Amino acid sequence: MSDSTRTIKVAALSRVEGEGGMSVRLNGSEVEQVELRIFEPPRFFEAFLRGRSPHEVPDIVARICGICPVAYQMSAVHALERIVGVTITPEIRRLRRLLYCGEWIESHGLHMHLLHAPDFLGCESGLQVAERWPDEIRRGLKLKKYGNELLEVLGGRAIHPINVAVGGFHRMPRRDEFAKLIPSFEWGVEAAIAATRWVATFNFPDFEEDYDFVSVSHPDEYPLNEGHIVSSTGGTWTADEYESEFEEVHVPHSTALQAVRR
Amino acid sequence: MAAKPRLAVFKFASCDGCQLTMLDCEDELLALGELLDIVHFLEASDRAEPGPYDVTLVEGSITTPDDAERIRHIRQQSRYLVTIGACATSGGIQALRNWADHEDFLKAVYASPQYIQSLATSTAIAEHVPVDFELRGCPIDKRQLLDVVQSLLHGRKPHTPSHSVCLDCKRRGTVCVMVAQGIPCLGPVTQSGCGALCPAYDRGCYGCFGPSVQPNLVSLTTQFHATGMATPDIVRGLRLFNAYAPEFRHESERLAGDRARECDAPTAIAEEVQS
Repeated sequence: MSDSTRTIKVAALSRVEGEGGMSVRLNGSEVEQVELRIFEPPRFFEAFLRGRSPHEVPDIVARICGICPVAYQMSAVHALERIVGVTITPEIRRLRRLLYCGEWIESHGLHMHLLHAPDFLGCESGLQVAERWPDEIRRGLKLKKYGNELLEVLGGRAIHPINVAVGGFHRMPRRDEFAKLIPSFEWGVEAAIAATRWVATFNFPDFEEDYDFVSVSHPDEYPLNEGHIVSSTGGTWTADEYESEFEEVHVPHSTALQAVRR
Repeated sequence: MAAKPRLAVFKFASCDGCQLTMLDCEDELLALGELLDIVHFLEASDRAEPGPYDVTLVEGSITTPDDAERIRHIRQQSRYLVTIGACATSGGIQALRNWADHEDFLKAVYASPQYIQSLATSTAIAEHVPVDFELRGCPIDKRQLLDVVQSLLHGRKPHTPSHSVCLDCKRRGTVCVMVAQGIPCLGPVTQSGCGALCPAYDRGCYGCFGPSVQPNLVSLTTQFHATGMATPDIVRGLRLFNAYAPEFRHESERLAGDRARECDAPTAIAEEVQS
């Protein structure tokens, strides 16, 4: 019945990366349809990367996202190294992982404290959270800062690092550059545990759906850089099988393609 | 006590990195919140208050008819409008479409191009509305951002140097990568701001902060040719994050012998929006 149908429209989602809105159509109290409208303007990376030198690609793809440039740089160098048949040394692999860790520490610090905590604590922003939980937010900002410092040592700068290259790095970091970070990270281990304990006190809604979660998995480590594609319903695929198993669908209400199982 | 100045941050076509620079001011962020009333900053807060705003920071370039209209409203609501980053000041990497077939670009990415609203050009904010200050960089520099915000609060001119990256290399004690190693470098024609980062990492500058004051592009590209660099490589080097900045653009077009599409005229866009 049409008079029991209503739509909740959120014009713009806040405290997320990029731009999007959302519509939820309800019939009575039943959710009938949810639309995530990504209105982020197209920038056409896939198109203008054609004809570029492989050496330019890590710098260009970083600009897809200023919050996770390393993710794009790593995917690009892995792909290009496979194409040209380059094998990197274990040392390069470890340093890349460390660079990625810097981004994760920064990004998790940002998301936990400034982007997501306000939702759980009924605040409009991280700054407002800081009025009531000043020590927790200060600790979070410090963790975030140390993540950025690790990015700076390995990448030159935190946003759009300049040191990632196909085959390794433009310049290897020096031992003394790392040494000065050690006290920060000794503090950081304890601080990260304390931050996790604080977040664990948040009231998480009891909401379970029958999702098929897809992720990367690695037998020996947390899969930042490489691994198999796995699904929570039991599938395992190599990266090469992505296109045969997944499809990127273009829907009318979004400029972001939606990846779905074929 | 006088009301705190109202700050707004808006995003157009961009990567979020320049807005993130504000949140990367980890040591200063809480103090900034004391000095300013952040009334519109979607990446950081649910507050999305209408104007007027005392200081508006704009990230990103104009690439859609709706955005060409939106920036005009934002301008009307803003006392000072500051553009932050290469997208906002020169059109960004997405300005590469200005030399390309827009239809081909749409088809290369989207299965159903008819769903997409996009202009054939990506242009700087200043091509559409008057801008009070342009802060360069891809990404912008945190210290420069803080200086600009403080300058506006205190009614003084921002201290943003316009000399080239070369001077910063000398200051830093970096041996010239072009002279010593023959690595092509845009440092001589690129504005300072990054701290001469790339040469310190054994690679050439790739122009994140856009053209410096009175850059001699012809002289530099002649030198690139002399060291054996091919014209297409030089053109690609100039067509990166500030490709559509006038000096870089003119030199890449002189070498490539092509012409970019001019900015979709704001009046034409306004008509398109109304129709």
